[in-house]
Amino acid sequence: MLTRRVFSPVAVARPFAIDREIDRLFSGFFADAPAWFSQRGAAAFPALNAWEDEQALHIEAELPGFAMSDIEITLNGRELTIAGSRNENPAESATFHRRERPQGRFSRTLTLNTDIDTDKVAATLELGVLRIGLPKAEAAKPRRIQVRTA
Amino acid sequence: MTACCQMTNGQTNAAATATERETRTYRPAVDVIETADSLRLVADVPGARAESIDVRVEDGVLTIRAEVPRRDVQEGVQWRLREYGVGAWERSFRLGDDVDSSRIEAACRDGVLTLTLPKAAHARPRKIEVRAN
Repeated sequence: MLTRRVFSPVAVARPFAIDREIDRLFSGFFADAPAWFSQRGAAAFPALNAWEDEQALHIEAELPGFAMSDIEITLNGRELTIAGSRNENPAESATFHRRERPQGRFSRTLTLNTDIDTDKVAATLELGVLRIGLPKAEAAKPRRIQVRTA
Repeated sequence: MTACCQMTNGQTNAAATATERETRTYRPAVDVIETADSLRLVADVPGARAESIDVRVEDGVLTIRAEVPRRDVQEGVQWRLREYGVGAWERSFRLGDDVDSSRIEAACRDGVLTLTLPKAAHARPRKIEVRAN
């Protein structure tokens, strides 16, 4: 899971490693198995920020280490799905002391609140940050109605 | 407590939110992988460029810190989802004697920071020759 916490103090000294104290504290959250499917509500991967202005909806997700070819964005009516996978396989002889970074397949579907001009949807992926711009369909944009004096 | 809780708790005015966003620090998810002659520490630091990442070892404590610039979101937008906050990434690790801290290497790509921490000579596996008598 992509868990984010404010910085925690350094743990006490341990041989060979790598803040064991914190490891133990959080071991309940960081199960060995990829946990993308078992997450609830706000902990779903990837975490999303989304905002809206008059012209478009904007969605942003943090997908570090992903290439655009690992990500699939589909818009079906008002249903937007962001899916993909990250599969980093270290050598078999390697031992994981800590495994917090999500691996495997993920998928999130959002129901948008407005119709989208599907031809103009654009996505960028830079420094592990995915941004999707979803321009509103003309009919969904706010229009200023001229009020005439009678 | 997740970042999104922190961001929404008690922050009702926009100015306070903006300041918080600039100074907030998050703890990156990491993998730590051991091979025969090194440890590899992989941290997710999306939004960080290599030149804004600081990796240092002080008193046996390895600290990674990655500054992340605020991402432009225009004023007056309607937020629809706010599941994470944007700020610096920071995390510290106490190194054991088995790591050769003078030879740590760091690289960053696509928001993923990878550190290679070579094992000290005494911590590497050694093959002991067995002589026939």
